[in-house]
Amino acid sequence: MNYLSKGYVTIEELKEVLGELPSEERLRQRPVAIPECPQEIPCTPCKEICPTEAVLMENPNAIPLVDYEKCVGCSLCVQICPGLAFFMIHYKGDKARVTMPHELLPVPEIGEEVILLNRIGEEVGKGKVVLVIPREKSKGDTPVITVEMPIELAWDVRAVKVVRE
Amino acid sequence: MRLTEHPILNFQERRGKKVTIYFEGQPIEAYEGETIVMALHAAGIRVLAHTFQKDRPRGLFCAIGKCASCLMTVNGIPNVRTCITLVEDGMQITKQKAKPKLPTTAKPPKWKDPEKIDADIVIIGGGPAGLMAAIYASDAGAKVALLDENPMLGGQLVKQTHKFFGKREQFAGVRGVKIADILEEEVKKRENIKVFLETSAIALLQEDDTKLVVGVRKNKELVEFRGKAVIVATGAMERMIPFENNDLPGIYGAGAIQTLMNTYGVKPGDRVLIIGAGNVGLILAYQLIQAGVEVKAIVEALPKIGGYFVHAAKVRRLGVPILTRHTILRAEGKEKVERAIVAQIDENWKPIPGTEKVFEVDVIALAVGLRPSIELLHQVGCQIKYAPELGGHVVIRDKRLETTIKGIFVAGDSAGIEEATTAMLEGKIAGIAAALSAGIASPEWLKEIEKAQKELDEFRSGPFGRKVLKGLEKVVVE
Amino acid sequence: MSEVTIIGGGITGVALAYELAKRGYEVTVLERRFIGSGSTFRCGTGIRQQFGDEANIQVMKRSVELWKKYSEDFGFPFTQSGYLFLLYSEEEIEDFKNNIKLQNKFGVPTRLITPEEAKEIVPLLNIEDVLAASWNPTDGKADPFKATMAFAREAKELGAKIYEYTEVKDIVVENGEIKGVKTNKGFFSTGTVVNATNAWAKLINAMAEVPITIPIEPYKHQAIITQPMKSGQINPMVISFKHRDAYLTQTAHGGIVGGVGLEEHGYDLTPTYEFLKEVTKQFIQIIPALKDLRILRVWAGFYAKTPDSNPAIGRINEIDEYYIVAGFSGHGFMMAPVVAEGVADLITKGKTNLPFWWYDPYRFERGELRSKAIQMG
Repeated sequence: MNYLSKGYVTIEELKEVLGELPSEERLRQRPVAIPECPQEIPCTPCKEICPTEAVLMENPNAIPLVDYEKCVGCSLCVQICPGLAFFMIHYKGDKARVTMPHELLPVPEIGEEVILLNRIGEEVGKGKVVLVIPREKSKGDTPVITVEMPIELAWDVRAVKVVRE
Repeated sequence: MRLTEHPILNFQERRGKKVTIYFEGQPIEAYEGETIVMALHAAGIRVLAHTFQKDRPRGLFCAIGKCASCLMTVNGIPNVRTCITLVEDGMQITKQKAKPKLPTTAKPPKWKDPEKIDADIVIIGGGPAGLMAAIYASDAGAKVALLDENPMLGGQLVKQTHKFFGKREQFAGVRGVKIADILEEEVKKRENIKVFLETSAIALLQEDDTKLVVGVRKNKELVEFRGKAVIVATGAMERMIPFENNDLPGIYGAGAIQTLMNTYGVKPGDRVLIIGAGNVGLILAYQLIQAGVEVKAIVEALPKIGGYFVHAAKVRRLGVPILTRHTILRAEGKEKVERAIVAQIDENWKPIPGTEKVFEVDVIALAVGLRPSIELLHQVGCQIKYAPELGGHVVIRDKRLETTIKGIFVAGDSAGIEEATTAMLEGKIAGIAAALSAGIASPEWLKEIEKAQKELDEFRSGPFGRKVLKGLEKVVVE
Repeated sequence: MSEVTIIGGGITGVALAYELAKRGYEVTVLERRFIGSGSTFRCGTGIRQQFGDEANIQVMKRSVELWKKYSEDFGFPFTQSGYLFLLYSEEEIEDFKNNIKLQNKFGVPTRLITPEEAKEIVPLLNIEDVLAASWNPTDGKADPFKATMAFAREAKELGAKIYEYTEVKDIVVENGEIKGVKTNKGFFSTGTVVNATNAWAKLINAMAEVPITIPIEPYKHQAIITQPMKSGQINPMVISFKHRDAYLTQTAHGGIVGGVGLEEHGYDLTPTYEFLKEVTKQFIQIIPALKDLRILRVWAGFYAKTPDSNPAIGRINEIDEYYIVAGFSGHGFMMAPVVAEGVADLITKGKTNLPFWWYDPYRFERGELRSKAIQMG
């Protein structure tokens, strides 16, 4: 894997790290947490905060894996993760809802249209914000947003750009 | 330019009363509680001096009192470190262009005997290591004097807007700036800790069994701190790398940029190139974007990103390129940085002709590593050893962080470059160990030391800890 | 086999090596650490002729001539920027008037000046309680690093051998004749040994079993240097006995260098807080503008003191051939060129025209102490 020379993971690399990705069926059931944390670093808040013990980690330096069946989609891991490396994906019809941390200004509002950015910051489309957990309500001091987008972008989009006139 | 909005920080709340200072006779608006150089930067003044011999412009570099880049004449006093000296209404600040002249009008001052502070444990440095040492030494029963030459406690925590890693009981998931607040609050709660800010430790000496720390408060008052034990937690200083024009104003140590924008809410510039893709460089890039500054690229000479992958991913998804196997060839600009020239390097670290890229930037951030501040430990005669894995020369010590001189302890980056999390754990160990060595703490406290040692071992057990462990092997003795 | 082996690579040792090599002698210098590391590189840099006895005045007058010559020949900094003694009492003035008379007799142009004249020379001076000053513009100062390295370089150029990190362990004397010197780097066979180790002289004398008492004892003296300021603000060496024997001047680089007279017997070189406080306290009375300056470094070196503060220079008759050139009591640096010249003459010709009889190493044994040489710092 050469994610360390590029600074991002490809979907193939992610599959290799996580063993398997959640099934389409699981993705349609309810939101599921996806850790994009392929490197052994001494960090455990995701495991510590998870209410259902869905985050698996053998030791503090282990790579976090998610038991997709145990995951209830509460987004606490997205809120707490110091590396801003947890996301949630939920398929709804022909749309996907991606939940992600957003520590930049402005924080978008519900209903606002935002530009979708992939893992290398390229603009790949537009989406609509459907949920915002503001910083003061976040359990991890990080605002979290859920953005609805075309289903085929769900595994590419990891940030948004808010453009206001 | 001053920042008004920030996703994490609130500067409006922090800024004190408006005052006026004078730069070369011109009035400049400043706020109480900020240092001279911050007010100057907010007013767009980046050239602080000209060198004595070659008349080259000098700008800020470290911003934490560890280098000579910001020396200016303040109220007639030459060579004042303007990065750690607070503004005062009516202050007169001038640039130094030659070695300064002494004032011929000075009157012989009255000698004032120094203030004497007696404590069980004297702690030098109020960063994560020093604060934790103070808290635990105090809880173990010791009377503590804590000094720091900066105007605020927290060390480098005060500019860390990112959330920390580790375990939640070690503050994982909490922002550095918040950790600083928590620790400061804990220190203030304890009546047996006395804090001395704006107080530099200029010497560490032994008087029989007593340790003497000679302090200078606010550049003028002599203060003597005596204790049965001393903990040196003086942190680190930023490294520099050689390239053409590496002294142009606008080339900062990464930490200085964090101080500007995160501690004092001053925008360091508009377009930035970062050298070094270790954690500091990666985190800095994200913090710059949060402050509304454009990051053009991160340049890294190694073929791989040295910091945590997740920090890299955070800035990649916001469109910041990371150029591995690249180096900076030179900076260009007249009085300050106007552009940077970068090139690819080959296996022998030589620039490949024809691969030059030009970045139009006004700031170049150097995030090329740190070296431990061991000056006081060296001066008092602790044994020193070179351990590149720990950032350079460090002191020999035992597992409880006692140096080769009985009663003198070390903790945090001054013991070897690592993380704030490990600095806090080391501070805890040193604080308790010092209280034990001073004959104050009861033996039950040994358990707390063992607990912290276990946590340290655990933190260092991953691939990122390997290098540190290799360094520690060289300098930790039984 | 070396004709002369000099123990001690301070400025005295290397300057003597130069003088002997110039006279065609095979010379070896043995230095325990590196050239200048003992006391030379720790010295206060001053060179003066303002002494209170005929011998030292004449000797130092010649030394200044040599400093001038060698600084030009070898290219190291030596400036005749003068020595300014600040006088605060009538008794002091009386003493200095007598000294000046003596100095003038031997052609040293010292004169008594008013406080105002002193302030013209050093405008930063606080002359509040100053009654007069003793001023000799031909005294001066030199860069101890560059000067010592220059003598070493020139000596080597002429064939002298200088061994650094070579510690003398023993001196082999058979039937009153020197055979050689044992060191950590092996045996050096030689017929003549010069003890130029100053503060360590008694240890070397003991190795050679010198049969007479030459009381030379090490005393720690400390000095400071401040951050550099515009040079030329304090040109002369400024002396005040009132302020605990303070001396201070500005280096070419701009730092203020100097010290006060706190001394401690023994071989320890740890700088003390007591000194730091004392030097600050005294210096700001002499030059108040120094109050806003930072001290960059404090360090210590040895004065190798004799009971009359005059060195012991001469041949030890009972050992064939052993010379003592030590005990400079704080004047070793300033005296080095003339001592080298005089001792080289002693070794090669058996005599010198300089009044070295004053430094006779047998005087202690005979109980004939000299009048105490003027010492400061």
